[in-house]
Amino acid sequence: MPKQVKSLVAICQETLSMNLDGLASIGDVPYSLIKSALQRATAQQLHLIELHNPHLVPQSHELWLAHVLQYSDLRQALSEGQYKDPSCWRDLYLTRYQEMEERKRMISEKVKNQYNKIRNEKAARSIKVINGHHLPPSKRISRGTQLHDASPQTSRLFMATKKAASKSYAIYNSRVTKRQPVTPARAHLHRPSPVPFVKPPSKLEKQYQANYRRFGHTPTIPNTLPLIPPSPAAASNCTSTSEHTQFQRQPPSRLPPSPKSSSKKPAAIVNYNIFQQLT
Amino acid sequence: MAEPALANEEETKTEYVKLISSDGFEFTIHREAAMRSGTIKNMLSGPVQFRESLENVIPFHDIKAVILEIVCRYLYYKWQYEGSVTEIPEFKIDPEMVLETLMTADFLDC
Repeated sequence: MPKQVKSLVAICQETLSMNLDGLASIGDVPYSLIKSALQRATAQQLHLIELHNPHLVPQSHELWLAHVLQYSDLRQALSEGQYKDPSCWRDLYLTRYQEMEERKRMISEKVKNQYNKIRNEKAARSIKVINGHHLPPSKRISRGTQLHDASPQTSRLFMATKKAASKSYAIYNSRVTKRQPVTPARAHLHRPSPVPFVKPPSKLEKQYQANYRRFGHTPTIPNTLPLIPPSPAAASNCTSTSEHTQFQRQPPSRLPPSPKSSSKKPAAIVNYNIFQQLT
Repeated sequence: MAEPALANEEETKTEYVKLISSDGFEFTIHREAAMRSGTIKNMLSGPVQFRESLENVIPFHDIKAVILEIVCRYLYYKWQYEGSVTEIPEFKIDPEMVLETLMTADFLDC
């Protein structure tokens, strides 16, 4: 079936309904011509056009019916026979519309308030990142432990770990005979060095070395220990006779000094006050 | 609209009609196209007492040239596509003119 070419009137009406937003004053156009275009107008557009063209108002009551029918309760009322007068439809719709807008606004306000309240609560409870420079200085444990701001508990643990590590490392440092005890106070002095170095021999060690050279062997303790005090001759060899000599137990000596061999040179000369001299 | 070369002066008289706008512009269109407007058709082929039917000239004292041009364009559009089985393209109108065109179209019944 061939399509009908639309009449110019119809084309104009369609174009008009598409561009109602730009319509202000309609001029001399009779209501009948634009009625079909206005039927497709939204409530907003219709209201504005009526504002610009008051002469349309008496005729445009019927146009508001479609908008009033959007509200179901009004639809109900209409079907029951209320609001029969077409002229009241406009006001009916407008007042209803205002009510809805007000209600919407109040609800959105309430929701916004609640949201803000919750958001503030959350913000107060949240963890904030602050610039590290402004932190108060932490308590210092010792001069030597300034590597980090650790609690005393952690620092002790750290020290203990260090101690254990240095102990295990000391296996490879066989030259050192006597080790100073590692306490937290002396932690800064005792650091396991990456390169093993030989400490200069201590006084005690020097004496040992001297004795070794002299006698050719390390001191030995014989099985039987004669319980005779050393003879005065041997005692005179001592460099000092102090009251602090607590080492009254018989020092190791090859031969007990006897009157018979007093003229002979003693086989071993032992400095009984060695410990005294060294401290 | 430019006037085409006319072979027979007798025939051209009836083949074309002239529409004159309120501001003095003259639009010469085919009679066939002009007939697509009910009002013009009545003017041209009605009772002979209309002067227009004799001279094939119709002055429009109320219609502006811009609007009359749109009308003439439409009349040719209608003449071309009426009875067409293929898809008919949309006839676009400038929204600025739409109100006056609406009134004119209503007056010219087209």
